[in-house]
This record gives sequence, structure tokens and C-alpha cells, in this order.
Amino acid sequence: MTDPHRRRRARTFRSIAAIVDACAQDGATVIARGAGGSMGDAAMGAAAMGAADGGVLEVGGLDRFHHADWDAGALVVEPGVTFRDLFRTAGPRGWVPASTPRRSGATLGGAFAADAHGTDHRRVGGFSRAVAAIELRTASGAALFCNRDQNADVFRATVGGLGATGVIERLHLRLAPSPGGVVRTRIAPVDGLDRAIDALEDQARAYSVAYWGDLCDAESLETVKGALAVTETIDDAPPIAPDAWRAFTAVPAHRAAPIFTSHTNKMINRVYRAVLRRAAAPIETPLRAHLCPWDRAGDLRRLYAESRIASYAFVVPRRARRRIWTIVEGLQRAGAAPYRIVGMLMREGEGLLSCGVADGVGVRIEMPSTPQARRALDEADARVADAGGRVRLAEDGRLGPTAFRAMYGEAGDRMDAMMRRLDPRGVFGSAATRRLGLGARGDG
Amino acid sequence: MARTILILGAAAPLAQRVGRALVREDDAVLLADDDPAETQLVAADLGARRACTVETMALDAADPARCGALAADVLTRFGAPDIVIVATGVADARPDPIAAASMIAATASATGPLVDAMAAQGAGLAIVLCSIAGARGHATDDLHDAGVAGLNAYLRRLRRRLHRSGVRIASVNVDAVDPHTAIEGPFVAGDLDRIAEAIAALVDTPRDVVYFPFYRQWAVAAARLVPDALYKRLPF
Repeated sequence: MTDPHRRRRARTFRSIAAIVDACAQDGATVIARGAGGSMGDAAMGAAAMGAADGGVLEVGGLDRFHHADWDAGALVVEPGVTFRDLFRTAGPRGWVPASTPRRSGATLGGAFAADAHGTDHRRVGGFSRAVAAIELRTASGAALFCNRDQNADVFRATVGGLGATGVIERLHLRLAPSPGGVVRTRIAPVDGLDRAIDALEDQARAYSVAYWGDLCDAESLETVKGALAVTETIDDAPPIAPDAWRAFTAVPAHRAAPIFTSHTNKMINRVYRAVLRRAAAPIETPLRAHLCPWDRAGDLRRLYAESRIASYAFVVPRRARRRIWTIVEGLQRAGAAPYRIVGMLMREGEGLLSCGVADGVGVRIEMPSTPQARRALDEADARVADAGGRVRLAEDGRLGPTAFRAMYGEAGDRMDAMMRRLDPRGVFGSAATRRLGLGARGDG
Repeated sequence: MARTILILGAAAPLAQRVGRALVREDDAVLLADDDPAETQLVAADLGARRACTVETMALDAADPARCGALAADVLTRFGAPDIVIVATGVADARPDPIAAASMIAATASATGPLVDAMAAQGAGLAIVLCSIAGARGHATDDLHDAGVAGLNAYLRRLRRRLHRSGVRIASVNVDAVDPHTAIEGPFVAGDLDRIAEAIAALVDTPRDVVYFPFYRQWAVAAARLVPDALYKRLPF
């Protein structure tokens, strides 16, 4: 009997075409997966949502550079190249991707399919901005060259498209000049959520700016205590050293999961808040520690699952920022008082399913993972949709098709139509696309 | 100083990563594999990353005569290489007597003339990617294990013969490892990139036999101490 969760592994381009063809013949559904680090179910096969044969196609082994023009910062690479590898190779030559996800083990193909980003989204957008073109293997077996002029509709559907349009075989990158191997961060205390968002806006020109707030002790919008981290580049920063981006053994943080209770989370927040708010002088940190702070945290998904912490990541337009507190209040009323909030400014995303909205505030709220929290989040979805916002699909494993359509509207319809056009038999699909009702097999 | 590096079986996942970890700018790299399309991609990869000169050659790892011819061709065109990496199919566990026999014959045919030429110039390093399979033999894969054991015996002999010549022969025994999954922690083999970096470090750290993960050397040593009268009764 066929394992419905079967992992198919592509070692060559030929094997990608062969596997896609075999899936089409067998009626199987498959989703390309790089490092598999998505916090939601975007990198899980459709079998996780009940499909009879819905596994993954692992392309992490396709991690070669095909071409490099080091004078222009232009590269052609395979989808399994990781950010760590890219920084090690391109960084010392003075080039970096304009936007980097928070883990350097993420693959470039995965980051493109998730439209991953850092805390500098308002300034540079998501990782897709560093990608000039892609070569995509579609369900028909055809190889499509897509950029912003040629097959532009497929390109837009693939940016943040959760891998549902096909398998990315090559990415054509345009890298940005390196800021150097060290950056400088100033931390300033900010009280009140409204004031924090104003402060984010005031610092919008910084290299990156992010807000952290303690929700355990907050009883109103004004009593949220937190800090703003503003990061700037340094003029005489040393160049990126390859060794700074080596693989290292991560701390198995999930082993500490049992200590994360509502009481200890409160204490942890207080200590962290105190440390942040007392940091008087600017701190110089290695670029890697700034861009990829989760590198040492081990398996984050396991940490969140075992410590029973849920996160809710969404973006709302800045004019509707008061909705953020309404969502926090809803969770508090439901008995799932959130622990903390992390925020940043965002711009409109490039892809149909990108999470950014114009002049947006991106937020992640962490809370106990309880049935009450899940019910309260269903109400929160309606508030986010009502405000013109979006839940970030690459970090979600819960949103239903109705709430998805309410948030993504016409873009969701266009994505669905694109998937049905490119893949009428539903060869490509994940647990996420099935849950969201996207594509030929999205309705089960 | 620019070096000449020859990688046999260059398209194998671990060999690709060893190449990336080992090759420096200005090195001259020769890649040989029986999949020409993949070899070209590996060559493009190394050229793009390291700005080195890369040449590709066809290799038929199942044919000892052609392996010998390839070695002769390399010596004629480029002279004795400084470093040879051999990754010709040792990891492929195939219950095929011809494959098991050709594993030794092909490796010997290619490696023998090369290391002799290195010995003549008084320096060189050959790193042969092997596996732990041949230590005592598993219950399920006789031929493959016998082939690996034979290869290890050949390498021991070669190491002894070239001991005073300035040529080092390193055999790298890698436990089964998922080539695309980064398994972290001290008691697993680790991801291929980290293994590759450790293998590349053999250039500066003289070692004859290395194991990944490291504790496998103790398991292998313990297995060798078990008398055959008892070993034949073990279920694995």
C-alpha cells in the first residue's frame, strides 16, 4: 500500500520532471519542499489534510550555483541553496540578498514560495525583490521562464504562492551591496501600542526596525510596555567573513519546552523587557545575529508545539492599527491572554498571496495554544479581514477557506484560477492549499 | 599556491560538497563522473563559487580498464594531482557481485597509477569516501559489505606501501546519512555540508581513517573484537 505521506526526492532536474510526470499518471498530489522550516503547513503534503496520496517532493539537494557575475551581483542558482550558503559565498564578495528570513537554513526556493522577509520589509520588501526571474517546472512538464515581463502572471502567483504553481528549478538573483559583517542596534523603551507604531514609522528609513511588547502585564492599549530596536549600518564595518555563516550545532531549545507556562512566560517577559529597556548604549552585533537570530534556536516548530505556544501572524493597514488591540482583548476575554507581540512596518507584497499590504503593520502575537485561543482566533480572522488585512499564510495552519477568501478577495480567486489553469489535475498541492480550498483538489 | 584536485564520482552529493569545501580560488579542478550532464552542473557550481578553472571528464566507474585509462589521461595532460577525492559508488548498496567486485577493481585501477605518480613527486593526498558497511558485514547485504571490506583492505595496503613516500591515503567511513536533511546534534552523522568540511580539513590534519559520526569507530572496533563463533549468531 502506498504511503500517503510519501517523500519523493529530486537529485537532478531530470528527476523533478520524472516525479511530476509520475504523480500526474498516478493521481498523486505533491508539494516541493526545501528545508521544510515553514511554521505552518505550507511545506506539508496534502495527506496531512486527508489526501490519499499527498506527499512532498524534496528539492533541498538541488543546491548548486549555475552562473555568477560577481561584478553585478547577479546569480543563477538552484532552489535548494540556503541563505547560509549564499551569505558564505556572496557575502565576502560584497553582495547579500536584500531581504533575509530569520533562519539562514531556509532555502531560496522556499523563501520565494513563502515570500519570506525580515524586519526591513517596509524598506526593501520580501525576498522576491531580490529575484529577477525564475524557471518553473509546471504540472504539464513544461519549463516556464517567468519574470515581471514574461509570464508575469505566473511570476506573481509563484511569489508567496506556497509552491502551488510548480517546482522552481532556478532562481535568477540580483543581490544588493553588503552592509558589512556588523550592524549597530539602538534600543529604546516605548510604552503604549499606538506610540510604538508611531515610533516604527518615525524610524522607517533605518536599515531595519522592529518592536517587541509585553502583553502579560498589559490591561489596555496604553499599558503595553516594550522596546523598539532600530538597526543601522556602520560605515567602516568589516566585510562579511565566510566563517561567520558556518553551520553550527543549534541549541535544542525544545528541551526547555516544559518551563514555558503562563507564569514563567510572564517572568521571562519581565526579565527580557528589563534587559531591553536598560540597554542604554548602541550595541554592535554580527550581521548574522541580527538577520537570523533564530539560527541557534534549533527546531522552532517543535519548540512551539511542545511548549504549547501558538502564534498568530498577520498584517493590517496602519490606519486600522487599533484592531490589533481589539484582537488582543478578544484573546484575553477568551481566557487565552497573549504573552507578547512583535511588530514591524510592511509594504504591499508582490505576489498574489504575499502577506504585505500597502502602508501596513505586520504583527505576531504569541499566546497559549488552547481551544479557547483557537475560537478567539476565528473571531480575530474576521477582524483582520474587516480591516483589510491578511493572515500570513506561510506561518499559518488554521485559516479556513471562508476567512481566506474574505482576506485575500480577488487575489485569492486569481490564485485559484491560476492553479486550475496551470495544473488542472491537481498534481501540486499541500496541506495548506487543500485547507484553503485552492486549486483543482482544494475542495477535497 | 594553486593546487590540482581530481574528484572521481564528482556528481555524488557528498563529493559535490567536499569539492565546495576543499576548492580554493585559482585551484585547477578535474571532475569525472559517469553522468556528463550532472558533471557539467557541478563544474558550473564550482566555477561560479570559487572562480577556479574546472574541467570535466567522462568516467565509467563500472569498467576498471576505462578507469585506468582515465588516470593515464589525467597524468598525461595535467601531471600528478595534489589531491584526489574518490567517490565512485561506494555508497550504492547493490546486491550485485559484479558491482561489488568492480568497486575494488575500478578504485584500484584509477587510484593506483595516480598515487604512484604522487609518490614520485613526493607529496599528495588521496581521500577515498567509503562506508562503515565493511567492518564486519551485516546480515542482509553480503556482497556490498564484502566489496567495502575489500576496498578498505586495499586502502590499508596502499597506505602501508606509500608510508614513507609523502603521499597520504585517507579513508572516510560515513554512516548512512540523509543527504538533504540537516540532523543536528553530537550523536548523528550531521548534514552533508558539515561532513564535507570535516573531510576537507583532512588536507591540514593528517588522519588515516575517519568516521562520521565519530563514535562509529568505537562500534566498529568493538564489532571486530567479537569472535566469529559469536558474531554469526547476532541478528544484525
